[in-house]
Amino acid sequence: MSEIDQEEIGRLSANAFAEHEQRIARRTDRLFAWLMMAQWVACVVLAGWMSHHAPELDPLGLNVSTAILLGALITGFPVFLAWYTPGATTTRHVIAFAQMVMSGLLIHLSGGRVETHFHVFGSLALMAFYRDWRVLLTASVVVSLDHALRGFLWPMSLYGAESVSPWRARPGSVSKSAFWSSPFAKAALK
Amino acid sequence: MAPGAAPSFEMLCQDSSGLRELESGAPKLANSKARLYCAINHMPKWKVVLPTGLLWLAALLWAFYFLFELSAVSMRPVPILPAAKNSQQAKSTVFTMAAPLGCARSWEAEHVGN
Repeated sequence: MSEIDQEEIGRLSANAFAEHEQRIARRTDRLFAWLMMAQWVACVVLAGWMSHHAPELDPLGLNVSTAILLGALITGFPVFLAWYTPGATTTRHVIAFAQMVMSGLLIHLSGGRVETHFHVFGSLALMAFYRDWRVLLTASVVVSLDHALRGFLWPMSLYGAESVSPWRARPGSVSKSAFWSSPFAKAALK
Repeated sequence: MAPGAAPSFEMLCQDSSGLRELESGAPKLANSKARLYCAINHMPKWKVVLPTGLLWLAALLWAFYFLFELSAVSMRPVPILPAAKNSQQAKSTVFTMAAPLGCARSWEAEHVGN
């Protein structure tokens, strides 16, 4: 086979790969748009249920309205981007950011219960659908910053306790191995 | 498109002549919705995404800060104020260790002795 043919094959396969990657990104954007809307509904249901069963966690009775308004705010922009610029790099990073912020809201609404912290892991696993390690890095940075800030400033919202050990709230330890997922995912997704 | 059928927003927005037609007249389409649709459609995407994104981020940060502060204030336990008159003497002992080695034992010895 001549050298020109090989170049042509290389170019065609690169195009086919880029097209395939773009198709995956668009499909995953759509998936997350639906998921985020479903999460918003789940958030409102959780807030209502928690307010009913554990009213001491919601003394001001604000959880349901918070879930409706803040959930809408979190969900609105990524869903708009998934429709307006599907497959764009910005879209998937905004989705990663919003997904982690949604985890933060769920943790807050559940009064810092440990079970809702697992929403972070589930979200990271779903973000691997993008086959882009940078998206996992964005999500990891956001969740680490969230845990660091909230652990120091508002531990009640994150752990359900007035004060926590500094080791628990320390950025290096509170990220719940989120940072570690990125290098591993990068190696796996190469 | 079928002959005689009215052009849709999308079709009119495809090219500049369609946009001109829209601006000049088609009474059904020259409404605010069509203008907004065309304006967004013709604008470079970053001009829509960047300001909206910054506004969204600012709103999100403010909303979370407000929520956490409000929750923290409402969930903070009421401080127990000291009573004006104590019927009982407070029983507390403060131990000060002068030197790390042997102090605990010497204190124990004194305590037992007393």
